[in-house]
Amino acid sequence: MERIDDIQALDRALDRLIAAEHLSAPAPLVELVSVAREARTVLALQMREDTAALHIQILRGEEPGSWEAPASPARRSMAVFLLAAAMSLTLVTGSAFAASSHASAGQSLFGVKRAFERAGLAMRHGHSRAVFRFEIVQRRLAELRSVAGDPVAEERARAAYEAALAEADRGVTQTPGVLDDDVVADNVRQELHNNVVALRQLLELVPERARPGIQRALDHATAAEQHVKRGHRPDDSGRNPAGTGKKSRRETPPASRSKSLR
Amino acid sequence: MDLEAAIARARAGDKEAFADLYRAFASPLLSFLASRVRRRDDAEDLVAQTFLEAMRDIARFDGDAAGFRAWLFRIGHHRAIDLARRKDRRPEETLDAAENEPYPVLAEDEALDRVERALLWEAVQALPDEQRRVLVLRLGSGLSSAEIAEVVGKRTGAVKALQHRALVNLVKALGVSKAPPGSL
Repeated sequence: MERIDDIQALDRALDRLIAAEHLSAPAPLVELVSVAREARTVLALQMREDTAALHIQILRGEEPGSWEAPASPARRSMAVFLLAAAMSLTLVTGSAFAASSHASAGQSLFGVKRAFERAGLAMRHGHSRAVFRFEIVQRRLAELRSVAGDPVAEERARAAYEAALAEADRGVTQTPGVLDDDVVADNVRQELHNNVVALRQLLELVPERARPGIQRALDHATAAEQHVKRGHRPDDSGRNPAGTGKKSRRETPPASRSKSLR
Repeated sequence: MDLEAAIARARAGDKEAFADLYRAFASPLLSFLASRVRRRDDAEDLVAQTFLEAMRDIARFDGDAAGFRAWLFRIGHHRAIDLARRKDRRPEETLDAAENEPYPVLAEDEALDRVERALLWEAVQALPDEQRRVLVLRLGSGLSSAEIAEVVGKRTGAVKALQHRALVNLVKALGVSKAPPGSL
């Protein structure tokens, strides 16, 4: 049965322990305080300096423009989470994100939008990331269409579109097996086809002076579409030669998953 | 640092004030959250998320420094619960957890060996939830009983009783006499 006096005395002893004062405890509490002292050395953590610096950067609202994914998976996870948290915060407040979602290249909130997209990319892996890159291409295309008629904005939006397209194209090339997955390959092909169609329409709508730029974008989109078509072998269209159905979408587990438990 | 002033500045939208509050509270909050989620990386993520959420809602906060700390820890507590739920839905992540240190290691105290730390950590984790929460807030985060009472929504007397019970259980669980009488 706990005695009130012991409980109060222990509380006072813990106050002194936490204040790092000279510690003396009544005899019945010596063991408890001793264990408390050792437990404190295990339980009291210090935030790592590099982590704190990154957190503070986020709190200050500095766009992580120079952010690069840390090498270690754990630190990468943390950084990605931070970006995601910043994204979810802004989503909830509905201010910057809502405004940034309509921003196009050159506008002040476009950087915020890109930061969210980088977070989204960093959170995805393999096929999912490749597909998300094409979603970003679609966004750039929508922005390009929305600024048609404004020569300066249009030029920036077109450059942003082409950059996103090139990145998506590289993503497909550099992610082994992406186009062997029928579902992913279909999505990518469809996205690119939509791009080509939209750019053709845009080409009809924009003034003469803007056409060369849009034509270049259309050429790039068409090339990417061809590239994807070549990359996705015809005999992969839904059924493999053995007739055993489509390739599974499941990705090879990352190396970390296959490590044995310690 | 004048915490009251920093809170007032933060409420006025000063982001640098939030950086100051972060420096004051990040480590105690990390200690608390690490015991909730068991992985240091997850705990660090939750610290960031907690501060972002606090920054979002600071206009709604109306209290002093002690109240702010309690409020911050409550936010962290809820985010830890959210994380646990997400992990329940994604059981495959338990494999990744094996790559993390199951318990924190402090470089500055090398006297206590790793095995003993592991035993202590596991013994703390094995405590009933309320006792563990109070003990970690007290010894890990360095909160007073009164401050813990605000965080966990209990009376100060109840917190003191819980911390006493927790330490008694910890001694029993470790099954060893940590120090002879008078050796403190």
